Amino acid sequence: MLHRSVIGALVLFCATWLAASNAEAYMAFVSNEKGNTVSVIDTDKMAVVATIPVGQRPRGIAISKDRKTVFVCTSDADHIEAIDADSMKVARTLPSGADPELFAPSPDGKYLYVANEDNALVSVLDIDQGAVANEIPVGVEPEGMGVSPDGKWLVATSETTSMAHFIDTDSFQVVDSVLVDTRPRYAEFTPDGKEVWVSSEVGGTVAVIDVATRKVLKKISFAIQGVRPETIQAVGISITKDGKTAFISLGPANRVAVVDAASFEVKDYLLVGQRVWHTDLTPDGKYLLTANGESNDVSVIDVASLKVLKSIPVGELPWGVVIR
Amino acid sequence: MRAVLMAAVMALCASSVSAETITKFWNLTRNTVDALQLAPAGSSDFGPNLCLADPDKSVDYDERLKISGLSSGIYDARIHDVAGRTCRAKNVRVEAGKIFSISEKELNGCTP
Repeated sequence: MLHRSVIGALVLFCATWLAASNAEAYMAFVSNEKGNTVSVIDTDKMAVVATIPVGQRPRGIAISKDRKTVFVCTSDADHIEAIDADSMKVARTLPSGADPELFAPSPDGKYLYVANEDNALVSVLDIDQGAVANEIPVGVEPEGMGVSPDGKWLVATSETTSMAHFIDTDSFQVVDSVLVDTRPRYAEFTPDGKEVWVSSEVGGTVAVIDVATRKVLKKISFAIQGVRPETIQAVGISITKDGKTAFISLGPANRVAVVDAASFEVKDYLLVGQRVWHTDLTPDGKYLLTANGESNDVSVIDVASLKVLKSIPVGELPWGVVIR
Repeated sequence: MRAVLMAAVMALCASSVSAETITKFWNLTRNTVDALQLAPAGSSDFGPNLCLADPDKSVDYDERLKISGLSSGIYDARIHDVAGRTCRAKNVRVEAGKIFSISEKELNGCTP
């Protein structure tokens, strides 16, 4: 009798321990633009555990609502590939329009909003149907795509027009356009949906736009001692779940700026790998991973201490990262 | 006579396809490039500035420049960027209709 209860307790302990372990085992998927692969990093081991061959020039990368599928834009292949996150194999290919670069999934998991740089369109891709359901004309060379947490707003940034276009997702019409600095690359909503942050690569700034009024609340600039101003090029943005801190990738400045999201003050600059593009936070908010295009690695930043812990070698020209 | 006519038509078709073939230069150097000239490898017969075909006459980092009518071959490249550097890249392999890249580490003899 005693023997049975001991075994039962052991089984319960093991099950709990396994569940806890699995809950913390995040996988980061990194698109390697020139390597034509996606590297998979186990964030516990801090090492690459798999490399997935994909189509040519993988860039934008995102995860489905159910977190079972990783979507990657394969720009030179003119489509999107859907990777089964468990088997780590490409399971489906979806149409996207020409030269897809960045996209954003709708919060309900139904659509992917895709920026088609070559033809100044945003494609609305119905994931289940595997077909383009709508096309929205926007400014020249659309790139950054952000969706509000409630799914009502889609913001597309157009590089050449230097605008953030606000699209109503009920009508799929552009209802407003906000002028930002030169070459806007990325749009990220704050978790409360009240602001959208837009990075401008050539301008080297981030515009914080009030969603309700579509007015620029603040333009954040960056200055790093000993670094030439023209190399400070704002690209990727990640904002913590509590909305308190934003991390801005500064491209060839090889730094990530840490910004207080309430005061908009830059608190720190963290030295990472070369030409940092895009970033993502682990779901528990503990780590920020950065894709460093020129040094072919990923930097791991401890969010609490704001220390760069490690550099993990990945494929050739890492560009985007998403963590499951 | 028929064969000659056929050959002429085929040659015409081939040349029109070649003229429409778009080759792309992928800028992986450090800076925005505002001049790219190509010469047959080992020569200094540099052609025109290909960046002038771009809408803003320059090619940003990680962007592509569409070049029409470029023949396959091995070229030397002369590059000028917005930082004021003029650099060379030797033995750049170009395949018509495909993408060729020039990265920072391939540049040499940069001035100033």
